[in-house]
Amino acid sequence: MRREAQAVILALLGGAMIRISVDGSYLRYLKPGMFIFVLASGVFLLVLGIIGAWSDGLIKRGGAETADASHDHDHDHDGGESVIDDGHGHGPGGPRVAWLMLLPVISIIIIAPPALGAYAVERGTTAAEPAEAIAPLPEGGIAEIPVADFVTRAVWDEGRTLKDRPVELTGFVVPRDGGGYDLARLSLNCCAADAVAAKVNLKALKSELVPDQWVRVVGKWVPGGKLNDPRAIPVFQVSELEAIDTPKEVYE
Amino acid sequence: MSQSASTKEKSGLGPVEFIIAGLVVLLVAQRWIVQWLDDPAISNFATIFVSIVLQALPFLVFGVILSACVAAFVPPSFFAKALPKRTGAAVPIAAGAGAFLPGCECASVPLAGGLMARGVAPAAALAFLLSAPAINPIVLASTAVAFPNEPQMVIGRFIASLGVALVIGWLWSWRGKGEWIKPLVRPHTDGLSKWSVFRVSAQHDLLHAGGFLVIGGLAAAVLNTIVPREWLDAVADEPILSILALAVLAVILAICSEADAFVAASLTQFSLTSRLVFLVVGPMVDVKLISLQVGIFGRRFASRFAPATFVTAVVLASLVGWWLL
Repeated sequence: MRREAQAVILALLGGAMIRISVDGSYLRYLKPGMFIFVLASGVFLLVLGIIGAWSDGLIKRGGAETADASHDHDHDHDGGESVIDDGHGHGPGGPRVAWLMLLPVISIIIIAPPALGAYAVERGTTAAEPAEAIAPLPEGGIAEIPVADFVTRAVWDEGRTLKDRPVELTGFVVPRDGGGYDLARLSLNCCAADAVAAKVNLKALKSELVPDQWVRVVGKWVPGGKLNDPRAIPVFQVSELEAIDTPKEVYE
Repeated sequence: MSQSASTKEKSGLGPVEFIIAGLVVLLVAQRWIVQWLDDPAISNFATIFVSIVLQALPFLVFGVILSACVAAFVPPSFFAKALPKRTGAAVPIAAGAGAFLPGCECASVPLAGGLMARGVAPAAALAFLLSAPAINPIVLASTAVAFPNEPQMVIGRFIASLGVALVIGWLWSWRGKGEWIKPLVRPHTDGLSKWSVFRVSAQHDLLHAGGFLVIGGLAAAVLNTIVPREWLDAVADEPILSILALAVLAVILAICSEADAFVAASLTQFSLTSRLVFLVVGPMVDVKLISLQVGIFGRRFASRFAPATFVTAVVLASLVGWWLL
């Protein structure tokens, strides 16, 4: 790999990282807290690439130009090492595997994969997370709470705080084995590779739904069902359902 | 300046033009590519791939910056003074020093390479490589948060991880051969200013580690997408099988050591001992790390180091779990 290419690859990767952190689409892959780290390392890579592209021309004159000029057209058959020899049989050029760093750039800019959805929920971990102390729901009419919070209240607190309270949940639709639908929301601990789903079973639905459709539902917890089991899925009696656009923060 | 400019002109279609042409083609074909990839399994894979790479890159950059700082600003004599001459005595000090690097495993691989290049004994640098991502304060704190009712998980993780780092470090100083590590090529930096040394070292490390991080991310995303989690439930009640299953899961999931405790906490159908094994193996051996080690230290090294570490980690963590949990 030649030096100009290295610099361009680093700058492109840096640029891609800056772009997805600034436009907020990094939230499809990471937690909000990673923003500053993605942005800062993107800036570092971009600056390193630009300075590298600019100053390598200067360094290259330091005794290597003859070798460089004579090998210019066959730089790719020597096992991927740079043609610029630094006396160790290996140049400051990178190995051929460094080209792979273009893959994340292409994935981020061209493919822009969506956030995880129903497919990941069906195959991944679904868990009702236990909690130490459960506070009462906020006062007032309809309580808007995260899906995982609802599941924890229903499964680990015998639904004490949920009895006869209308609740609003936001999540996406996952078809259930044997008919019907679940409402699910994924949460990340660090990145999408460790996503864990919280699920509720939607009852009394009047309409047909499409997998991965985002919805806001209002309804009540249905008493009964398994308790104190991390694999329990509580039941939710739906009174209102509204299809919505995918929110900016897809994970809880 | 004019010399290098004329060299570039002569080369005609170089790699840079190639990259630009490729990106133009991709931009034009974007719609068809996206359509072709419109399958839930493929897009799930792509999301996890991007996610793992994006999550690891800041830490890799952090490790590369630290390593480049060592190369540029720390004289080799510092390590000669700071570490005992006898490798056997340097190993525990290096392993203990791991507690002070607040990073995860992606940062420690390039840093260990930088330490070796600066004259630190490989056994000591490897002990540091293993202990740093497992016993630093951030990782221990996140473990404590993930297991609020089992504080002994934190203690177990600390003891078992430090133990593996010591055993592997001493094993290396006893049996390890320097020739297994590919010659630690450093960029030619004589006569450059400190900042140029920093820049050249950072670029060198990024190019050597970055491509391998991508390979590791691809492998982890494939396994994450195709291995069904139900397989896990089938072995959860078998004490020995469940330990092996979670050890293998730690290798194939390639989760950052700062987050793995939360995943371990969610695997509630498994015994605490098998989850401790998951937490000890993960920061030391996983597909992304093995790939990074191939990149920095070479294939001959990784093919010996990774299996030895895996076996040691499983055995030690099981023993600690049996004793503590």
